[in-house]
Amino acid sequence: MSLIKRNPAQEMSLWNREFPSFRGLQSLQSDMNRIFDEFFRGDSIVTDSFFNRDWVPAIDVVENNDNYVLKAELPGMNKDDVKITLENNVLTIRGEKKSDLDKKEGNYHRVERSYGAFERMFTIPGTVKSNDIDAQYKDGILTVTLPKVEDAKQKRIDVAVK
Amino acid sequence: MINGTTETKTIQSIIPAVNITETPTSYIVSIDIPGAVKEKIKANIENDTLIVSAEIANSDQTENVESARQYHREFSLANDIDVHTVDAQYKLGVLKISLNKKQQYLPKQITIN
Repeated sequence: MSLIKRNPAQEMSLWNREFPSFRGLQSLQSDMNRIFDEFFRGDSIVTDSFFNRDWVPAIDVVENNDNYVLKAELPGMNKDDVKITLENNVLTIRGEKKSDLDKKEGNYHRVERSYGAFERMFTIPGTVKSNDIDAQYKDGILTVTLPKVEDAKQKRIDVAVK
Repeated sequence: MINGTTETKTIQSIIPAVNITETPTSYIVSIDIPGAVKEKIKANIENDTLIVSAEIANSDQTENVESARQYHREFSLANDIDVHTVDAQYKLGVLKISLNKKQQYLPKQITIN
C-alpha cells in the first residue's frame, strides 16, 4: 500500500538539482509508506518501543523455502555496535551509530545522515534453527539469515482421494 | 509476445542522505549508499556540478519482476574547488568524496616583519 505513485528517474533528477530540500519530503513519504504497510500487516513498528531509538534503519524481510532473510541498511557503522538477539521467536536488531560530528573535522554545511540508537523487532513466523543463524555486515548492509527447521519448510503432501 | 510473459523493471529513485563538512583545506561530502558495488558507482564532475549515481539491483527477485534502486544526487561546486584533485572512497556503504580547495583559497600565514 503506497500513498503516492513513485516518479520515474528523470523527473527525480530534475527535482534533485533544483530543489535539494525535496529530499526531506521524499524520506518522509517513504517512512509514511513503511508505517502504513506495517500497520496494516499487523507488524512491529507501532508496537516497538518508541523510547529506545534516535533513528529507524530500513529493513527488508524476505522468506524463501529454506530461510528467513533480513537485510538492514546500516551505512557507516562499526560492526561491534550492533547487537542481534532472538528470544521467543522475536528477532531484535539494536545498536548505536556513533557520530563523528563531535570530532570537529570542520564546519558542517549539511547533516542529513542519521546517528544514535536504533532498535527494530520482528516476530519470526516459523521455527528456526537458532544455532545456525548467520549475520554478515558488508558495504553498509547487515544481512541476517535464519534457517528454517525442517518441519517449518513447506512440504507438498499428496492426498489420495478414495 | 507470443508466450504472454513480459519482463518489467521497476526502479525506485532515492535521494541519498549526505553530510557536507568544510575543513580549512577541503570540502568533504559523505553519502550513504549502502549495498552498492564500488566499481558501479558513478561520480563525475560536469560544468562545476558533482554528480553521483549508483544503481543497485535487488537480489531477491520474484519471477519476472526485476527491480533496482537508483541513487542520484547532484551538487553545485563553488569556485574555490580544485576539480582535478578529487579523492573518493567507498567504505561501509558510505561514499566519501574529498574536494580540495584551490591553492589561492588555502589559508595563509602572513609573517610580520
